[in-house]
Amino acid sequence: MIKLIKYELYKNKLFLLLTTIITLVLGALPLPIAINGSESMGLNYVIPLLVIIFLIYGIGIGMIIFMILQQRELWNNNGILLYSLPISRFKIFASKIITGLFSTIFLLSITALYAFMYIKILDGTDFVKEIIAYVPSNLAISTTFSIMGNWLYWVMTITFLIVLSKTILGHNSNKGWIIPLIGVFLIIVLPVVVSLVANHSLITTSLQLTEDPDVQGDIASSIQMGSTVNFIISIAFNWLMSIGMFISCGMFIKKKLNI
Amino acid sequence: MSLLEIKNLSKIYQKRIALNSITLNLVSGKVYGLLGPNGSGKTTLMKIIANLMQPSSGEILIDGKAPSINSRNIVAYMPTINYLYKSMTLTQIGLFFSDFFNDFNMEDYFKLLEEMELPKTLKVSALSSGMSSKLRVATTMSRNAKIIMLDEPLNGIDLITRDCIIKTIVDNIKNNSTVIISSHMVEQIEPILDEAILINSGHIEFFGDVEVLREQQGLSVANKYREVFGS
Amino acid sequence: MLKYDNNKPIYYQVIDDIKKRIINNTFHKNSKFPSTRELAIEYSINPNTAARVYKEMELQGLCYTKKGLGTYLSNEKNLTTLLKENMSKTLVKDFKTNMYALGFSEQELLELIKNGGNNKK
Repeated sequence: MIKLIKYELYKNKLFLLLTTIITLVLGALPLPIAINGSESMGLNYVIPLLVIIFLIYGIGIGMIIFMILQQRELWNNNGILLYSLPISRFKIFASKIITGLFSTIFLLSITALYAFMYIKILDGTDFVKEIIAYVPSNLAISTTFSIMGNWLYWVMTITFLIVLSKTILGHNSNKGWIIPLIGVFLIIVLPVVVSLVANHSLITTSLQLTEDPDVQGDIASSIQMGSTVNFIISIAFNWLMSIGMFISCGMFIKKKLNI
Repeated sequence: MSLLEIKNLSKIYQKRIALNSITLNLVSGKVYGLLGPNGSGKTTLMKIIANLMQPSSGEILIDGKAPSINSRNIVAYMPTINYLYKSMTLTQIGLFFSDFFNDFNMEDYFKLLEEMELPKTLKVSALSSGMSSKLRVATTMSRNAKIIMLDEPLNGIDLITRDCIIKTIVDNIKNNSTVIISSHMVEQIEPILDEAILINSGHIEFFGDVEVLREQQGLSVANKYREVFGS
Repeated sequence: MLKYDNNKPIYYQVIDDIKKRIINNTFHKNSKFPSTRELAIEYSINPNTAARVYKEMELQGLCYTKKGLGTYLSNEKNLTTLLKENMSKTLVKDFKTNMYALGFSEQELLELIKNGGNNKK
């Protein structure tokens, strides 16, 4: 499988290089504003924050799209080449997912480094205060973390689809009963768990940004409210998405691979 | 002992019967021609042998075992399409095959590239369709596989390239491997065949030794084809 | 490259071509024939057919095989003459059959051959 990952990275070298450069450049753009400050105190904080949020969204959504597009290779001419290798289809799909994951983590790490840098420059306490005051909805922060959680969920969903299609293909038919079980787990339980964890870590991290108990209280309550709403929306959304994806992708796979 | 045993193999797509209860036994060391009109089931049969597709019913044994991920190590399949990565150079394609197939011989590959006048530093995207066909044959024939299947290797290419490919196939038939060639170009391919399998609508219409056909019935494979498929 | 009549066994046609080359002295006595593989490439036939060619030729006494070393042209005296005779018999027989089918008599055939195919009537 390592060989496959090596080739995946090689095949996408241009894309990966491009996204790395974009992330590095975008993340650095607010630097002059952050360091020099501006007349309106808010912009100091808002612009870096928006850039970081944009990067997280962008990387998250972008990498999902990238991973889905990567799977397309399996349905075009190159797919036959991969399928004729003496490697299970599961490993082939998994190598693509893993490559996507590594790349995403890599890009998110760059983003996280920038985030920490800005927090450092802007002095955490005020930064957080300004976030609450100026960012239109602190739903944005919790949504950001939820998006990250959702993204992880979607990755697992795609992986599950692959395992499902492996069963349809009959490669491992004697273990067929495990797959629906995992499916149930993934569809129902995982979004709940992921959202809970995402929201909890969001709260914990935000609280660590400041030692001022008042600010902490503010953060806690506003995030709490925002995250409950968010929680409900994301669960419902995830369930709908997954059911839709399973049905349509499963049928598509079955049809395309003529099985 | 049969290298490839096929018993009552069927493949049904949503509405179509692609293979209709086919029974065949192929031995090693022979060149088989799989001949028939479009849609007769040639590619389907090859893909099932190559484990790229599952049969709907019936049995197929390669060297005594059902097709699996492992059987891909001893089966080489050359599809009709350009399936190699366009951004890779010919050398990189060779390295790719070496990475995944134990029986791929890099030296043979380079030798074939030279004989076919394909520069190894060229990218796949820069190849004309004739050169692509030659490359596909080169990668497949550089594998020391027990079953080598070439799906329409002579399609859509000029006369000189065709002769080159036929010579390459003949030169690289390894001892104890079975070669299965599917083709429309019955007349061009028949001199190199040991046996012919004529297939129509998923059904085997004729299976026999070609020289026996010529000696006993005075028929070329092409004329037998006309006899079987003609109106 | 030889153009085959695919309606007749290919190995016969290859043998005929080799016989012609023997008559034309393209092969010297005791000279080594190409290996089965080389023959297959030269004539664009499959290796099994090539092996059959040599087997049949050996039965006809045209060549002999030294195990591990290859196939060699027979050093039968008058081999070339024998071959010429052998091949011409078939050609004449075919010619006569075809011409009789057209209604020519034996006398007319001899006339035709003398005149080189120009029928002056």
